[in-house]
Amino acid sequence: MSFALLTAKKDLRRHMRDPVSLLLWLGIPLAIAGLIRLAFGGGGDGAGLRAHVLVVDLDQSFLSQFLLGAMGQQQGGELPFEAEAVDLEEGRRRIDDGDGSALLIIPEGFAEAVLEEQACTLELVKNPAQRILPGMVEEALTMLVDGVYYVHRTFGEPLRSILESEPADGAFTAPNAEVARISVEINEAIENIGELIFPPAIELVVEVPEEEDDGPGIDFGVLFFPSMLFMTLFFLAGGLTEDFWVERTQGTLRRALVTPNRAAAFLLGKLLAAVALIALVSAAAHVLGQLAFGLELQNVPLAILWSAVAGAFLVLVLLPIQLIASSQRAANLLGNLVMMPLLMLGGSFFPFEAMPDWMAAVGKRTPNGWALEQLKAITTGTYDVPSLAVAFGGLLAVCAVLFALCTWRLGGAFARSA
Amino acid sequence: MIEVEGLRKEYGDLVAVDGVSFTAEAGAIYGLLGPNGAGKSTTIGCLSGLLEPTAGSVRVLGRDVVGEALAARESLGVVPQELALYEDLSASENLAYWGGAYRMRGGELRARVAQVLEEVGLADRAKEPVKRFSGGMKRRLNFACGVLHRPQVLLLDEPTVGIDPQSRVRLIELVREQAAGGTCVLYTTHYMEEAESLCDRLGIIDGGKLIAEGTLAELRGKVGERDLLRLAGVFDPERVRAALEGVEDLDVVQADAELVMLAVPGASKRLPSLFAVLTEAGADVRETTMTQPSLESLFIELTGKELRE
Ligand SMILES: Nc1ncnc2c1ncn2[C@@H]1O[C@H](COP(=O)(O)OP(=O)(O)O)[C@@H](O)[C@H]1O
Ligand SMILES: [Mg+2]
Repeated sequence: MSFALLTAKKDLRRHMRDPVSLLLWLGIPLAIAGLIRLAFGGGGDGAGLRAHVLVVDLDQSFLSQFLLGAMGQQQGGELPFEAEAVDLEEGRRRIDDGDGSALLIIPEGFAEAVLEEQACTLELVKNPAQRILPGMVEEALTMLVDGVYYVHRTFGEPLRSILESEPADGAFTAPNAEVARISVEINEAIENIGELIFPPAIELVVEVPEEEDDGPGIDFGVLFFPSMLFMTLFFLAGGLTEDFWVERTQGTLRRALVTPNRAAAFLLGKLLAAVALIALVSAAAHVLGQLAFGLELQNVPLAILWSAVAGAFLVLVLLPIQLIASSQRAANLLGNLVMMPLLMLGGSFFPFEAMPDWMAAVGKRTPNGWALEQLKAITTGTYDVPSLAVAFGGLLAVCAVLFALCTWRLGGAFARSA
Repeated sequence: MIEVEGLRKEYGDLVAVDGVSFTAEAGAIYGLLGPNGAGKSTTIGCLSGLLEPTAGSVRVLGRDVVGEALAARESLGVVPQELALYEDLSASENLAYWGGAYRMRGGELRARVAQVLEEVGLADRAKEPVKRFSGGMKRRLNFACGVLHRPQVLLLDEPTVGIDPQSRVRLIELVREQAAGGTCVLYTTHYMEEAESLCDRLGIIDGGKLIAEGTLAELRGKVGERDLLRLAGVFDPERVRAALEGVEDLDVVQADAELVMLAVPGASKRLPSLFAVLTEAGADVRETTMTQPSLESLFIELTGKELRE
């Protein structure tokens, strides 16, 4: 046992020395959280969930049109934006009058600058009277600009050929067929990305007011918070299991196994360090959720305890993959292959409430989806003690089985193979 | 102190260690000499309890490393061929962790860490993360981690590979000190000179088999007084063998189209007559090397190949 504690201490020390990896593990889910928040539009701002953006296009190029189109393309109500083209004078006047969420000015020479990979500035004037929507516009725009950048990286050549076919006066005269072909390609690419992240979350937006109407006291953010937290914990757990390959490749695993200690003690130590880290992150997330976002989370200590045990469980679910894979690369690939669908189905990318019934039913039966449901019950104060006790017991039992499996693999073939 | 009997380790179809037996005593250095892939690390792995032998037994201080694994490991110190250090931790943090793994604690541990750091010449870099160390410094720290808990039996797997000359000299000195202090040291290497200068007893290993075993004097005796004659040129192996068959007191170690190796006593005096015989057999000798009796010539005699290939 004392070797386990020593090992845990050693691991915590190592993780603290490597803050970049830690931030990366925390950063990925936060970035995804940002996207999702953007998509469902910041909690209970009930009234105007669609931002009205006034756009002044001084560039009048293929790219600026594309940008405009991307923002306004789903007028039907899918995206929480609508774009309206205006001229500069009208735009300035209307935003000053508080009409619209934001004013976007696309400067002259924008397309050229992007294609030449030169710096260019998009001006965004936010309406100070609105709290959340202008912020959303800003985030979405940042994303779109990044998107344009990557599209350019991917489709740079055809875009350039179109631009170069422009006559001197700058009027846009590329052959229609070609433009159509390229925009179809680009649209497909964007839609594929979009489909992955957006639609279910946006359906969710539509549901917000109803839920708030008949469910007093339960804020939507409170339901969404556990999803966010679980995604973070999942990524953290995934990152922590990769450390077993570090131990292996730097030879320290083998050295540990020739000391007069059991492989199980070494594994337990690493697991304890992982759990401590997960509990810490969970606690920080709870504090942040309550103080910074004003979420009314209940039973916080119990929630932290549950998320820590669930975190150990996630580590033990992902660890066998690392220990079975034939190389570190294969391990990470396999790990992601397992993790992504689990995250999608398990209510982390979009809540069960936003899924079709059959999908939610499957999702709640994934290990992380199940643990997430328990956490939701805890933070919303709707759990009952006996079933939670059974859940704890079951979780610990499964953890014990997985632990035995991992010990067997860790002390055996994983350490020994060349 | 170490008793290895009929040790065999298979990886699928490959037999990495094939019936190796030897014993090593306290206060002495037992060398395991062999080329890359000979089975040295596999043998060490079986001794340390990391690998499970396919057959045979290994005892350390009378304890079976499989049956009484934890007890046997108590008295064992291991310096693996690959470095085994935490790059993010400092030298003293590494030492403290591995010392803790052998139940050293508190003041005793701290004092011993300081002492060992001094011994391997890293005292002034004790607080630095290992990733900033040079290869030689890491090797010395790797050694320190293996001897920190004062093991009675020390297993060293090619501890001087890829190291600067200064660190190498220091390490060899440290190994000698360990044996002088009563530790039983098992030392693997593929450096002939290291084995000759350092070890009290030697096993020569090739293809998983222990092909010769004994003290340095005993091994030299096996080569006898015979020199090794290495002739490069153009040969007809069949004719060369036939022609040399009648020559007294001579062994053909190897004979192929470009190389002939002979073991003969007093080779220098017999060169002219040997050349005459070879020329008769149509040989065209372009280069001649003569080696006095040594481990090198023993290895070549036993395996028909040179150690460093
Ligand atoms: N884990 C392993 N799986 C398969 N073959 C191995 C493994 N480890 C070593 N070998 C093989 O066993 C033989 C002996 O290797 P090793 O003991 O490392 O030799 P040495 O240390 O003398 O260089 C080599 O042919 C090597 O390729
Ligand atoms: Mg080796």
